[in-house]
Amino acid sequence: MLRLEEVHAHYGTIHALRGVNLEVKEGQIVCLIGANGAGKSSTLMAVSGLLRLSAGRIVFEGDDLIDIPSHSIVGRGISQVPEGRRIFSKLTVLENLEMGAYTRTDADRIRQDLDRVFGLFPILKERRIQTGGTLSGGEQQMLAIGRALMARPRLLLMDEPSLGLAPKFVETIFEVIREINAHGTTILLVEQNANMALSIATKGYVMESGQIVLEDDATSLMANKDVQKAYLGG
Amino acid sequence: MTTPARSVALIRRPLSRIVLASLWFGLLSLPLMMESQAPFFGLRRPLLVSAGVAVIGVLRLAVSRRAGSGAGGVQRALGATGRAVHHLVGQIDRRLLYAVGLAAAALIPLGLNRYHIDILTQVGIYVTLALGLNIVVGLAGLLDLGYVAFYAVGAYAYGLLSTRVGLSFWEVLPLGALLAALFGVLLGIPVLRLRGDYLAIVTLGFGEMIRITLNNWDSVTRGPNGILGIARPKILGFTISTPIQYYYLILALVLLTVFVVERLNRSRIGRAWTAMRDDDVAAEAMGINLVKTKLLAFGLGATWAGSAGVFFASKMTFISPESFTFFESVIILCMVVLGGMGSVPGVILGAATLVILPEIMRQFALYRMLIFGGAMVVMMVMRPQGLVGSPRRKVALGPKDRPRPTAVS
Ligand SMILES: Nc1ncnc2c1ncn2[C@@H]1O[C@H](COP(=O)(O)OP(=O)(O)O)[C@@H](O)[C@H]1O
Ligand SMILES: [Mg+2]
Repeated sequence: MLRLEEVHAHYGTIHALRGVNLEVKEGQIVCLIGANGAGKSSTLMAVSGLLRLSAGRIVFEGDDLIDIPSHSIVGRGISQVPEGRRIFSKLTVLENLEMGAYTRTDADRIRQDLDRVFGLFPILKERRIQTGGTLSGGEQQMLAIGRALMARPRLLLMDEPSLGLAPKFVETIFEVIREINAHGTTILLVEQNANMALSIATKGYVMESGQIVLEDDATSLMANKDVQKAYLGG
Repeated sequence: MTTPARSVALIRRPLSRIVLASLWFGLLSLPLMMESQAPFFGLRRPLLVSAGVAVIGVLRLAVSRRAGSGAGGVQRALGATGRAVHHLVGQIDRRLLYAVGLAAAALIPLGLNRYHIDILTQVGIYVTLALGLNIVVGLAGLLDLGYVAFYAVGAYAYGLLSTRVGLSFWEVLPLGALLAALFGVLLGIPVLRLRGDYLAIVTLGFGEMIRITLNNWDSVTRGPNGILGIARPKILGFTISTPIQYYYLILALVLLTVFVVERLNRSRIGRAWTAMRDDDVAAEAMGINLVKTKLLAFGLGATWAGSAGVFFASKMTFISPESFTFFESVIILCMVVLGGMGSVPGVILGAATLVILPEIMRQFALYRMLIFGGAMVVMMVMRPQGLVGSPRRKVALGPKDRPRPTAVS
């Protein structure tokens, strides 16, 4: 479904992605782990078209994404839950969710998807006329996920959705991720919480200094001694 | 809790801000050196102003430190008043508010003399201008310091097309608006990638460029002499000429502006502007075409300046580049900021305040700009969201008020 081939990208002189190769198959949850600064967020940004490639290819459902302007990527069926949530703090919860469906015109199905998001996160329905900036961290994360779902993506990119959340919220978030996937959305998940992420993933990639250094089934990665030492706390 | 490094940073920032503010005000008051009858002369006054600003800054810092968490008593009081006003405005149905406002606006001039009606007409012109700039600054978050250029485009469009081609007011009104929109987009293209300070500087330069062109292109614009004998508007053969007639004409233009801007505010594009202003990367990820959306803001904002310009030229029957200085841009920007960026009633209130207040303070002519500047600074420190604040914050300001990330200092 999604394939990155020898992807390179720079921030000014910083060479953040140094030949990333990665594949996500339809229906999978693929997990990308790695230390801070490894280039995980940059990888997702590149897929969303928000970080320009200096070399390489990103192919989604057979089409090269390189020539597609970033604002058209979401229309192709890829949406992102970005690191740090980045919800619109001055728009209401409802307006945030509507922004997620910005490029869509199928009003009936938007309504359905809104109901679905409110079903996943009842708290968002309660808070729908509140501005995004007034939500708690956990609620903002739910809103960010809900907003991404409103695009009705076939591929959902999630960047550290559990970061900074109370354990109770973390559980909820991971349950929701599984549920979203069960409904047919493919997921590329970046996580620091490697244990939980790998436990729900089909496949995992380990990233270091802008490159993929390891890839394997999620279960084999969890059993891997090096991975355990570096990312699973023993 | 607070490490030494952190507390140093906490103090150093406000301190450097005070020093900067004091230098800036000293600089601003340099022109006062020229005024010989004033009680001070030479460099003493600017220095005094500097010192005064510094003292006020330090006092404020001391007060806010004692009160803890940066919230001084005055600030809290102002905040509470603002919340009350906001709550009231929020409670009243928008339509009712506008209906009452319209009735008042339609009836008030009946009891006033020509001079006062002229001031109200000024208010109308500035409301139109400020609502237009509000699209660019308040909604889309693009700091434009050259907005007066579009006002000039509208005014000169009518001035030239009326005196040279003989087009009527009603023909030029849409043309001038369209031309201004075109200039808005033209300005927008080169500044698309700029933000904040850079954007402000380039737009400022653009505004000055237009004024200087008007000033020097003698063969077309007659330079500093300006254009004389611009035709007054006609309705069904009847010529508009008295202050009250002009007042009702601008009232109609204001109504149109309010109607359209309110619609825009609530529309898809209005939400896209707010989203872009909040976080442009996230906005782009939602599928918002930033280029198109920004250009639309510049164009739709400039439209209102263009139509206000056409009206202005028809009212004065004389225009010259002098009416379109950088200072005008600043005043209009102040109206938007003072009233509350993004809020239509707020911007109307801001425009009315900044036209009427200086008129009331005419006897302090020498100092009024200084007072004006000082008031703006105090306002920004105490109540950065403006008098009324944006409707987008309605819930944020409600009873379950959480500390907002936009907290002052
Ligand atoms: N906006 C940016 N500007 C400059 N450098 C950046 C930016 N974002 C990330 N980087 C750099 O790119 C590298 C990869 O960062 P990132 O993709 O955020 O890593 P991760 O998400 O794995 O923590 C790091 O060295 C980081 O410092
Ligand atoms: Mg990251």
